[in-house]
Amino acid sequence: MKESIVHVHPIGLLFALVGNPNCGKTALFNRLTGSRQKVANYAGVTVERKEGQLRTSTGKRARILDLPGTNSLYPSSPDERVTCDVLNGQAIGEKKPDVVVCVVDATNLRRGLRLVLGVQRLGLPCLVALNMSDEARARGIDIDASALSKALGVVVVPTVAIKSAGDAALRTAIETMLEDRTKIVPTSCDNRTEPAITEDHQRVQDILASLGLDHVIPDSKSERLDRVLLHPVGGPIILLVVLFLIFQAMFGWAQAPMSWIETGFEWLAELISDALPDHWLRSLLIEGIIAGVGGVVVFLPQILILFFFILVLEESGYLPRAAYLLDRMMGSVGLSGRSFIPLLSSFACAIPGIIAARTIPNARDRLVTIMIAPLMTCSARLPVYTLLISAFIPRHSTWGGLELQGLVMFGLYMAAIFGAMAVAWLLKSLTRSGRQIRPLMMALPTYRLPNPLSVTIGLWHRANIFMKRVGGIILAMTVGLWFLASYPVPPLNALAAPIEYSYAGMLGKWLAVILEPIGFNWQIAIALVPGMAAREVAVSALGTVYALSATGDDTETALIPLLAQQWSVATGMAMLAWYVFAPQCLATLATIKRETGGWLMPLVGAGYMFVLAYGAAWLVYRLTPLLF
Amino acid sequence: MQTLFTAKTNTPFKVHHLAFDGTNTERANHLQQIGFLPGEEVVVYRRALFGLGPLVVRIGASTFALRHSEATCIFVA
Repeated sequence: MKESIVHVHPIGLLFALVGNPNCGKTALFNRLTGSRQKVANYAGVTVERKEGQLRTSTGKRARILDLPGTNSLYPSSPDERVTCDVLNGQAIGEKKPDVVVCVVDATNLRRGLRLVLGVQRLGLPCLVALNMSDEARARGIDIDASALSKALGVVVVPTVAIKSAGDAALRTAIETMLEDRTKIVPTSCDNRTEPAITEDHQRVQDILASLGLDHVIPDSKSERLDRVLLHPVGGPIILLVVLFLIFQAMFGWAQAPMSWIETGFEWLAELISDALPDHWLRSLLIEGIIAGVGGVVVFLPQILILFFFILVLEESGYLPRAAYLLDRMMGSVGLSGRSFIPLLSSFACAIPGIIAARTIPNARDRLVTIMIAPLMTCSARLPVYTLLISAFIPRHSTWGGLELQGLVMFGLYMAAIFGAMAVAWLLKSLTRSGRQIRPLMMALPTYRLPNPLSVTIGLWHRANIFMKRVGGIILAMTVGLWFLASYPVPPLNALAAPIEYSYAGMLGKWLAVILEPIGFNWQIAIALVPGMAAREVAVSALGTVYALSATGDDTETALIPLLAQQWSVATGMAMLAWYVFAPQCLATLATIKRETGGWLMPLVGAGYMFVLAYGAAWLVYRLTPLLF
Repeated sequence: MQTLFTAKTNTPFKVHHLAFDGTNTERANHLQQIGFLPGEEVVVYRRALFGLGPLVVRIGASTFALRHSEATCIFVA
């Protein structure tokens, strides 16, 4: 994942979006600026400030700043501090906003209004956007915007961020301010700077009473769903079934599209080998690029299937419920449910997960979360897992139609989770502060039907990230490896495959000495080196290494049957165990360094994961022969 | 007076006050910020089996999951 860059635009009025977590600020930001920032139905999706530009019909421009959600102006976690710093004019490289757009969830007015009063007290001009106003109306919450506007002394507009043109009223309000700057005035009610929780609370009660909104209208739809989904017995069972079905689908649905991609690359390789003479370029294209890159692209369908489910769950509001159901487990290893969302994002990629740990108020918990996030099974491990499972686990159904391959995949995810929990538990036992009881205080959002368009956009975004990796780092590593594995050319009377005389071959044989106890041969040793850059590269590297190792009498060309033929089952299983724990991603280590501000944590992280990976692979390599 | 921890499930109560002592001021502040303020209506509507695991609590129009240590800070009437 890329780091977002905050561009400094010195001209133009600055409008900052501020509101409670999960009130739809980013959806509104996307609507106003035409951006595509990530939105989901849980608190803490946005942890950094993001900037965009709004253009009015008359050609005037305004800068729009999206900020992390906050409960109050007294920050309790690093992401809330970002928002508070901007509002206080203390953020580096950013001026104090000219206007604050307070985004208020219309279905939860009392919570939003307390924050509005806090912003007013800072002496900043503001505007109130009553977001999700359609949902509020459907639930029977009728808000008189003009009466609220009079009570607060600021402009109040209804918005529906998820509908096109749902931001029309807010746009008009912003345009009015751009046309006539005298309309931008602070509306401070007093000049107090210290917390005024009780006074604000009283004022909110009075405002709600005057609007006839002082009775709570419960969200009966979500309550009914929670009766089932959070049931003490039924809830955990449903969660387990959902997770299980996802892994079954990953293997069941992906077969057909994977074989189309494979056939496509085989066809391409044949086309090239017919068209080009036996030349280094032909070797680079077929044994280097097609064997390497093609070997990774094959796994795109599975990645998309996994993300389809993740996106649907994110939008539905189920994820924080899953965290609630798992809280006992998290608590028993010294973490709060707050760590759940960062750890869950790490199933896509550890980098956004580590960044999302900024939503954790407690410094120790945040550090532990950052350290175990790389153990979560990120999508870059999928190609490696699928390759090895397809090669070594027979494709047949066991008890009651469950696919054995899906079952093994589920087991690998579970092994990673238990590994991470064990590490957290160890850290809890070793540190004194780890034994204190952690707060949870996690918001459970309203259930929403996932929007097909935003799920599609999310999938498209994912496919794009994957293909960019394929075209970037994976291609570069593959070409580099092809070169190292092809030169120097072997002597004329060489008996073994040419690769054994190459630089890569020599390096692999040297490394194989260290890796031999865990069952890795020199081909794997070669593949692990470029695999440090990104995990999937190991798959493309194996493709290239084996394509170049072919001595003429090998019958198989595709990597999966080739591995099944050449490796022992124990080696295959040991490599799976290795990949559950191995710290093979430099970008993750770089992110840990940035987020913790030093080299110590990335080194400690890489060290402990290497030890775990080596130990697990060693154990599996010794135990597998006893089982088969 | 009882705390939210012992409050009857699915029964509306009003928040009376939050218990502060030297060790949990930060926690109490945070609870106030997310809406646990005197007079607000509060309902416990889920408890885990055998009282293990967090509670699901509705405060005003928001729903939160709270651990025992948080629930025992909140006095209701």
